[in-house]
Amino acid sequence: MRIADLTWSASAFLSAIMIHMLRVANWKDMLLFRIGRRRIFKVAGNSMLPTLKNGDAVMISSSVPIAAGDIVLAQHPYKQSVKMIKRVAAIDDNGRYSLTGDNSDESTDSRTFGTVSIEYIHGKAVCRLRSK
Amino acid sequence: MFDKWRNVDFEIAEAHCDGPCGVYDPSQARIEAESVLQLTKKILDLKAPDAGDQKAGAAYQNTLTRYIAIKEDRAELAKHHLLVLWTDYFKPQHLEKYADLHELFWKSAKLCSACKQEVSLEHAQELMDNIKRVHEIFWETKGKDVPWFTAS
Repeated sequence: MRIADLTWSASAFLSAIMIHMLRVANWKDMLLFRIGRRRIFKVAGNSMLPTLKNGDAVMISSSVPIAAGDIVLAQHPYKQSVKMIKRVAAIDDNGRYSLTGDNSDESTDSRTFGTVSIEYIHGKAVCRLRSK
Repeated sequence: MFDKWRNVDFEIAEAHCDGPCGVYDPSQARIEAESVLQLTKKILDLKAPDAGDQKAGAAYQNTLTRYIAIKEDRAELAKHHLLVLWTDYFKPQHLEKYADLHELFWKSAKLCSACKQEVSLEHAQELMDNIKRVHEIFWETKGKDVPWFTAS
């Protein structure tokens, strides 16, 4: 294997990790939270393990575009009072979002309730608060 | 920097499944269906007493009624446990692999009803056979080798 291949492999590996992890909030995030541009939600449940654990706090932004692979805050299509945190697995040709939990064994998601339209997505999780 | 935020009551983002415990096992349906099979046998084996023996007649009626009532309850429970597996555990990707899954559960649920309406060893055994197939599929999806067994 050439050095260039090794470098590319390491880069791809790190990119894959970065996509799945959420960075820790910094002072700019807190400023945006202060002026109401971001909301903080607390994760309840295990469906996003290992990325997010029960009790983690995440910041949601409603003003960034959503792409496949993003973690989003979404409205449950059948339970009006429930907001869920899930990952966008795919966006189909009709613009509908397939949501999934990183821990599929403990997740109720698009496998059960189907895909959702953009109106059901409140925003993207952009960072998390530093956990203890 | 964020210590002061830790005790704030933030809004909740649910990361649950609808069955929060996530515990499923076809054994629940199997135990109830086994009871249905055994009670069907008991009803068929029960000998009616002589017409003139009032005391034996009452005991016979009492025993038969109990067998029927328990068979009715257990068949309903078997149906309930099957429906929970069907609607809560199994997901679309399982259907892709096991194309007969819907028909298996649909027929099994109907067999539970048939076992209530009839005293049919054939249908009670067919229900057990179907639950054995559910057991095989279920544990395959879990990636575990769990051998089929019965309590009776």
